[in-house]
Amino acid sequence: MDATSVNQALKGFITEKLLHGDGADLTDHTPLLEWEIVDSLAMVSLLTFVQKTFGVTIPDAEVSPRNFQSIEALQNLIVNVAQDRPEAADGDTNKGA
Amino acid sequence: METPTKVRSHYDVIVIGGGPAGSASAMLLAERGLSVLLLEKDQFPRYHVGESLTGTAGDFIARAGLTEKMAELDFPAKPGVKVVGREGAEFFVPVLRPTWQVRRADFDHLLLQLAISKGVEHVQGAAKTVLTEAGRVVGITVATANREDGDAQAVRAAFVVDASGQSVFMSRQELAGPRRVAAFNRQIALYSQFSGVASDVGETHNSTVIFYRDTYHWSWLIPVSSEIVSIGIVLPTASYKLRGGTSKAAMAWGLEHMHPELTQRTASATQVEAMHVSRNYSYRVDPFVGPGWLCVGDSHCFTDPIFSFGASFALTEAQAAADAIVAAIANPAAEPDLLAGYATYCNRGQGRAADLIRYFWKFPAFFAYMTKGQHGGDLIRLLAGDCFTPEPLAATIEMKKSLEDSPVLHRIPEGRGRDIAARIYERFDFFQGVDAAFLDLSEGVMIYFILAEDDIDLYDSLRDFEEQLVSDFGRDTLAVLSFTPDIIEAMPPLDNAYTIVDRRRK
Ligand SMILES: Cc1cc2nc3c(=O)[nH]c(=O)nc-3n(C[C@H](O)[C@H](O)[C@H](O)COP(=O)(O)OP(=O)(O)OC[C@H]3O[C@@H](n4cnc5c(N)ncnc54)[C@H](O)[C@@H]3O)c2cc1C
Repeated sequence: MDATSVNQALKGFITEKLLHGDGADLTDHTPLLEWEIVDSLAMVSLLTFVQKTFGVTIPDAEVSPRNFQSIEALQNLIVNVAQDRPEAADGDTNKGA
Repeated sequence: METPTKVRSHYDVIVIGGGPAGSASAMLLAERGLSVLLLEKDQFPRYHVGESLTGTAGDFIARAGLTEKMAELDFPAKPGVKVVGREGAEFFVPVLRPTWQVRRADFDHLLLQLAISKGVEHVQGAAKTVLTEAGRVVGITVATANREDGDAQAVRAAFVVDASGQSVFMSRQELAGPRRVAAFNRQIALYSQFSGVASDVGETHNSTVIFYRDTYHWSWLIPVSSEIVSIGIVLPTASYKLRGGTSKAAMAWGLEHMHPELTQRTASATQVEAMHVSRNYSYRVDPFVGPGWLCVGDSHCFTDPIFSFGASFALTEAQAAADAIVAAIANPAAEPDLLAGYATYCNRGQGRAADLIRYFWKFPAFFAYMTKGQHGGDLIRLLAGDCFTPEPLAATIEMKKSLEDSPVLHRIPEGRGRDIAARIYERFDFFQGVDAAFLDLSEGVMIYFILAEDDIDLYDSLRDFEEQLVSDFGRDTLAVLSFTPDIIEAMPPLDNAYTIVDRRRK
């Protein structure tokens, strides 16, 4: 999984679903929490999106503001979780190998 | 209860106030062989808010040998706290150690009687002024029930404990520091007791329930006997005004709109106690110790009632206060160090509780996840009142990181400007009624606030905050300007300003 595609997928999802198409100002550093782009409802749909798109389940302990504060932080989180558990990456379940 | 009014002229220690902080301090000091006068202005038993206790209070009660009495008084054993938000967000935090829900009229009376049984001299009367000699507190003047003529009597003591609760006696006497607003100020709480409230079943039977809605709108439900339930509705002042501005209207609004579970459970409830109202109850007093005196409990700090820390913290601090006082009377030369140690201990506990509460309000959804993740055990400990440990728990460190670190701050060049911005960011909970905050560094440090309303309490809070900024960062080229919606055009252009917070986007 490469960071650029994760980044683009995240931007696409946030623009479309959370900003209703108005993502012109969205950057890697836009404060998602302070600007209330990601609230508790949005967080749940974001987690579902991440799980469906990248096959990555974010562990409860990593669901923290630090990891959700910007697109950059989210992207790093997803890439790291996927790396730690390669069997889950790209939806490729290769357990037992 | 008989209400003795005779006062001797000298004691080892005078304790002002007979709430949990006062009765606990007095009894622990008397147990160590000191002569103690406990002054309480009100006739007990009396109603008081603060009915849900944590595990540390449970420990205190067990050590004091009161466990059987708690059952006799029909105080429900508390299994934990259930927190219920919108959209089905819900979590339950069990108590770490046995504890209770209490009616404070009876609980405070029980503690006071226990103190008396340990040799504490209890007198109904009010502390009026402080006696000092060469910068040391050496006693107080007291007005007792039979001396209403205003002729207060002087009583001397080696040490004076202020446990006067929200009356902040030592602060008003200008010995302790001024009462400064803290986070979550500008809230109003309405509360009473009800019969006929449907109870929780299963694991959560008799637990405290916290229902929360929009930020800072919440309510508590605390069973205080097998029949009676305490219910409180808490709102920001501005929201209270919108709901009709009377306690009755706001209570009715809360019961109907805070959460469907609350509405259902109170459908056939009857109010059996007067309506009580508290507002702007969050504050700190600093310093709160000095030669010959110290403050315990609400007399120096109260943050926010959401996690029911108040009475438990009062008991925890009372134990540390008693240790410090006994040691200081035995070795007067060590008093300054002992008092400084006591103050550090209190600040640590109160500070960790404040971080926990701030984190909950800032990130409610993340808080729920945290209870399930690796820090879940720490949250159980913190909610049990274990906020005073020498080292912070990992959960506290994690929460602090999230509270202090933000991409908003990373954009600002490092230095005094960023430090000031960090302070504003960290303390933004102060500013209910403030819609946005900007920092302009083009000439010195200019801070602009956009206010949601024109309100005198709000100006007071902001002035307080500005004073704190100036005392921490220096007056030098630091200016704070506030704009209400009607004069927003007067605000300088924001082209070069950094946005610290902007709630107007919602
Ligand atoms: C809305 C709200 C909800 C709360 N809910 C909870 C909760 O669920 N659980 C919890 O633990 N805490 C709760 N608290 C906090 C709790 O009420 C206090 O933290 C607790 O009572 C502090 O105990 P204390 O002994 O310091 O002060 P208090 O209990 O207030 O006792 C102070 C005593 O001093 C007396 N006094 C004052 N001035 C004088 C004087 N000059 N001379 C003589 N006597 C004097 C007063 O009459 C009073 O009896 C809540 C607070 C609020 C505002």
